[in-house]
Amino acid sequence: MFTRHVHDVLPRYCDGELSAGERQGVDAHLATCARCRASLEEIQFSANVVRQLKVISAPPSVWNGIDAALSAPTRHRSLAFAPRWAFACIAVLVVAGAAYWVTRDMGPKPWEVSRVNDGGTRRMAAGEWVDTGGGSTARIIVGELGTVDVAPQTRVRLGQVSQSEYRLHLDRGTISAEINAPPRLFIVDTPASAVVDLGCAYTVTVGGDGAGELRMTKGWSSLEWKGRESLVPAGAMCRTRPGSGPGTPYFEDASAALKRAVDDFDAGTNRSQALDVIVREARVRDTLTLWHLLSRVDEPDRMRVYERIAEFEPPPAGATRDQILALDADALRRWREELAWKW
Amino acid sequence: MNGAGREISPDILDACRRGDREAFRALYEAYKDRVYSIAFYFFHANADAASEVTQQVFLKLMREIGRFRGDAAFSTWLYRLVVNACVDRSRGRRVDVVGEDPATLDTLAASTALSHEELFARREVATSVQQAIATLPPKLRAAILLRYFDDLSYSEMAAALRCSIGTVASRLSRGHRLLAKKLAPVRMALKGGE
Amino acid sequence: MSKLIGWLAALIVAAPAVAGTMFRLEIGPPIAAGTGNPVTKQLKKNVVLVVRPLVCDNVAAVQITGTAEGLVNGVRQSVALSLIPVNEAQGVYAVQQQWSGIGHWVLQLNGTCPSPKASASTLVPMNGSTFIREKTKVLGEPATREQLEALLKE
Repeated sequence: MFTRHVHDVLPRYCDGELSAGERQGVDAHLATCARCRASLEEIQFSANVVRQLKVISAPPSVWNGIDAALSAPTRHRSLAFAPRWAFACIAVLVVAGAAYWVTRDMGPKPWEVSRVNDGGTRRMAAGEWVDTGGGSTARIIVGELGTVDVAPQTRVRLGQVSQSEYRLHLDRGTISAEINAPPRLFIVDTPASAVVDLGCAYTVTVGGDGAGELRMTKGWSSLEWKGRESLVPAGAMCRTRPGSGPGTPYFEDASAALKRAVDDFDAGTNRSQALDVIVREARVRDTLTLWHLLSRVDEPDRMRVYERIAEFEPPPAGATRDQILALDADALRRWREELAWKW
Repeated sequence: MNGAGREISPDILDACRRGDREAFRALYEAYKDRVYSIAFYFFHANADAASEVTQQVFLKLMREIGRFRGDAAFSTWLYRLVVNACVDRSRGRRVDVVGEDPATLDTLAASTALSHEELFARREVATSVQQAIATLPPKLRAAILLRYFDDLSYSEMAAALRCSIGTVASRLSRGHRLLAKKLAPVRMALKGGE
Repeated sequence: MSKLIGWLAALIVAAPAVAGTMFRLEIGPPIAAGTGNPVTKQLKKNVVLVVRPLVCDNVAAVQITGTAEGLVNGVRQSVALSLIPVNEAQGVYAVQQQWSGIGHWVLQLNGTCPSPKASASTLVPMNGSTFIREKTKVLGEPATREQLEALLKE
């Protein structure tokens, strides 16, 4: 007989896991205790609700990550199926998911850099340089966030690491990043812009003169410099110039004429003629470029750009022509979100 | 929804210990969806987290399979890995839970014509359930998901969670009652339809 | 967009003799769900596209389902997609890559609008995790098997 409340016994009661005697005791208690009857109803309701949850199939990418991790070489020997060996030996990993597991195992560390050619791995501090002159390549494991592959002839300085920021400085050369992090946690500084990672995959190249370009392969990133911002989605690229920051983004499948015209416009070469070409060559997808130009052209040209975009997709409710021509931030954002459905 | 085909054969486990890749793949295929689903709902329908946890669990399993002597059910050991991975990952992380608009759930509560099936077929209900589960304290969340995704018995759950059967029942009780409170509008709509 | 929908709705009302509805499923890159959307921000790396209904009286009530239809080494495969709600009020869903990286794949997205009653499909050929917009077929009715198979063979 249960003289105290039976809340903690009720799940087993509902699931038929009590003995006959215990069950009788609970029944007797429930007959006199409104509070426990209420608990019983809550438990029955909740159990019923949870039972409605569907089994989710694990996507193929999960096995691909496991397979890749099992196949990746360790510093000392092949990992291919050596279950008794310390997993912490692994230095080079192929996928972000596995990299996350390994770095957790080894404890927190800012930067872990491996030289792919000589198989060596070492921890490096903020302020140190990764220099792949001479044809070597390297991989930087960015804590738990992902990886950055460093191409030959590249100089990268490892920046400060804190709970709210991981920073790299790309002086010259090319890096390819595959990052899975909350937005604005991982940032790559270049001479002409900061690439603010919003959780995705991309390649950044910086030339000897400090000019660079960002090519997005997954997700999207923001290039920022002194208040000027360019949003670059997957399939698009954006150049950067020292002293003027991020250029105007365009999709890589845009016409050659449009791309040349955007470069001319950003360089200040025959801007009016360049704008003519952009407006003429633009497809619906090139509204990415046109939208950025709204705030970069002189006022007399803004109506022309507005009208060309509107031919493809008029502004949505809540974004009037006058607001857009006045560069109202909210109106511009609403229009960009509508246009993005065509990108 | 409950798992079927409970235990993996001893032959497969032996083969895994010997490093047989095909055997490991078979082991993975037998349990992947249940492991993934537990992690998926643990982290509020976060596929990235579910993928990471699933990878961690199976890689750790292969690293340590030599230690599994068969003196307990394999699934008990596996689910211990799953729970530890989920609870570890949830420590110190801000949980981005996409909430259901309260106005939507109020509307739901006000409707009286929904049948049981209609109610649970509604997207906002599924989303609310997922959200409610994801906001439970981690140990209660783990107990709820373990119970319903592989139909583990109380003694199996106690072994997986390294606690007594009484503690398992207590966590389920607290977890269910918290869920019921969080899902009050759904409960009211259900009563309205009865 | 509501102006466009209003214009189209007026057209439908004014021309009752016109068969079919304008209900469609539109696809876009993940950024189309908005850069501030917490769901796509969280899932960004694996989301390949987002989908939304157009021209339906109650877009929030539109049911969208999907499968990934593939041809891998000559063998037909089909994977049910778990669409992730991104914006319930606008009926926007995210599609994550749930199919293998090898072979040729076409996503079949199907939608049902409760009012006016209508069904539509959009067939989206994929190149790995990138959708091929030029070959995407936005249909005002459910896709036929022949339409799907034709795209798979392209």
